[in-house]
Amino acid sequence: MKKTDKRGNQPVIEEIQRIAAGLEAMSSLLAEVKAGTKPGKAFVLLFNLFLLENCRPGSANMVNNLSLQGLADAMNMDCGELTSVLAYLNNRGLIDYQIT
Amino acid sequence: MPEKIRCMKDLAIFSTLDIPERNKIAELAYKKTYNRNEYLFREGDPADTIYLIKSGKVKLYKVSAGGKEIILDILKEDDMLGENTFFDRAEHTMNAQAMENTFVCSCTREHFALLLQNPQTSLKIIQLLGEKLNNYTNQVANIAFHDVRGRVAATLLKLARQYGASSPQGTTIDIELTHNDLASLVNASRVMVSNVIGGLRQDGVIATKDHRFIILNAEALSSALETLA
Repeated sequence: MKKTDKRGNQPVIEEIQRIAAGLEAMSSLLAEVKAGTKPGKAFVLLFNLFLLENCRPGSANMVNNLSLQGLADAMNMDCGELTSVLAYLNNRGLIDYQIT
Repeated sequence: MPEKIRCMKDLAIFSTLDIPERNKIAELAYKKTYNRNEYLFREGDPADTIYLIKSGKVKLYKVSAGGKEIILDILKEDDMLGENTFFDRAEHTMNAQAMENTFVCSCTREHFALLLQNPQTSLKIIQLLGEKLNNYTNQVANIAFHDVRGRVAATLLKLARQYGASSPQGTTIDIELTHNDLASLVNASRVMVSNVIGGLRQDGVIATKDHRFIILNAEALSSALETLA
């Protein structure tokens, strides 16, 4: 029988929990995107900007140098709303951002 | 007991195990047939059971604040659901509803942990979860990067890979799908999806029969995805 003891099983359970957490985050994001909520729209815009940054010459650092006000205007939100949305996406591990 | 063995032994996830190990699994598993439209679980229910689909199809969906049904995935034979069960005191965060009469094997978190003692089973489960994660990621990317025609094309091609059956005309997606279902999957209005479907049908790319889509020209359908490439 190919078995491990209970302690040896723990890394597998932790790995499965890690993937399950990712699944939960992605399924929630998918629901947000499909429902057209503010976090969903923000993620799609950032995702497209990220794609542009990586496939068009001369657009490097586009995502790094985004203006909070500019982004808020593009999303039809005020800066306070946008900050909450970014914090929500950040807390779910979907984006990483810093305001400087 | 014999029913339990029959339930588990044909699941692909356990296909690499020998008979004594499969018999052990049978002792831990339960089986149930869910009728069409019956719920396996609803959002907010305690997550304490892992489900493996033996036959049939299950729709995973959430309901938006506006009451709109948002289909996240359609699962089939050998797929797994209820992975929130891996967390302590977890709740289900979506609804799981049988789309047709569906035969499901299930086991509790504690029993599932015993199954994970087998490395082959563990690997298979990690692989299944990884595929689900890829599917969600692809759906988000699909919505972000494609217009409605592209999203319909990508979704039909994906469904054809998952549920496709060869027929003289082409590939039949062996699942009953209304325009509403497809609209929910691709995140567009039913009217818009119906227009796209009408166009694809007129171009001879797809056909429909008995609420099932038939891919007549997969190459032409794929070309709808290349608009943003």
